[in-house]
Amino acid sequence: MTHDHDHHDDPRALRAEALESILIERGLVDPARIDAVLDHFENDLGPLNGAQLIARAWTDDAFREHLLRDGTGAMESMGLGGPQVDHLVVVENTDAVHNVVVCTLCSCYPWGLLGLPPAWYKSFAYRSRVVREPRAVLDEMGCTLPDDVEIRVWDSSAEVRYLVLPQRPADVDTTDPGELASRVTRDLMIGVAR
Amino acid sequence: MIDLDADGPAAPPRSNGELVFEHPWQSRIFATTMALCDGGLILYEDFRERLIAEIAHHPDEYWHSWSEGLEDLLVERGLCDADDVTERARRFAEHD
Repeated sequence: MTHDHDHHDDPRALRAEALESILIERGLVDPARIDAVLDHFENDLGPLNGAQLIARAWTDDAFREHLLRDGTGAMESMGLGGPQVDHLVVVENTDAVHNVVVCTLCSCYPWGLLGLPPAWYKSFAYRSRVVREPRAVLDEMGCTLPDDVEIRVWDSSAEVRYLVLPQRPADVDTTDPGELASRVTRDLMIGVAR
Repeated sequence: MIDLDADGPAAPPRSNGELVFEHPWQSRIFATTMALCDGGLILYEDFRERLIAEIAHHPDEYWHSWSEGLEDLLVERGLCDADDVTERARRFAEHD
């Protein structure tokens, strides 16, 4: 068995590698399965899935209403879903309201729709500050909101995953789903962009 | 490895597509955890409880929290032994 120790001076990294190696040796986990899982998460899951939901909501009012009323059902009706999105709640940005999503306790995130969360989403700074001072945090992230826009912060829990329905860009006149989806970024769907 | 941007992993996002994992061991332990869940050996929700507890102790060492939370759960379930992990980690360190 080969071991690619990539972080020699970090005892926790060595311990994680040791744990993995013991689990493999005992047949509790198959190394090929580990590779397949990683490949799936890194290559199959990503914001493009969530963007399809948003693009359709921008062009199809009935779907938009369905998505806001029953996020899980609307998502499943498009054949989307996957890990960590058993119960999806979609929150809509308007001229008066901006929504932003966090997980204050750990890193809950709709993997099936957005892929794996970026490092900053899991950072103590983001998790602790976005609840307390969302306007300042968003401003630092390059998302400066007018004072009269209300900010709503949604804290993900064991059961619920939130997704922001951003406002449709004013400069887009296409109804092509692919073209619309290309305008929907991960940050828009987390709510750290507008 | 690709370098993270100068402001570090907790930096605000400026574009999509930034790195999720800083080191391969982090992606390995993540995928190992998910493979254990898929195989029915552990429940993700049980793991998540340990992850939350570890994060509360070490708020900004996410992957360390992840790894420790997984090890705690596996030890508790009798699926591995902490001394075995210590011993193997020591051997890995000596080989480096």
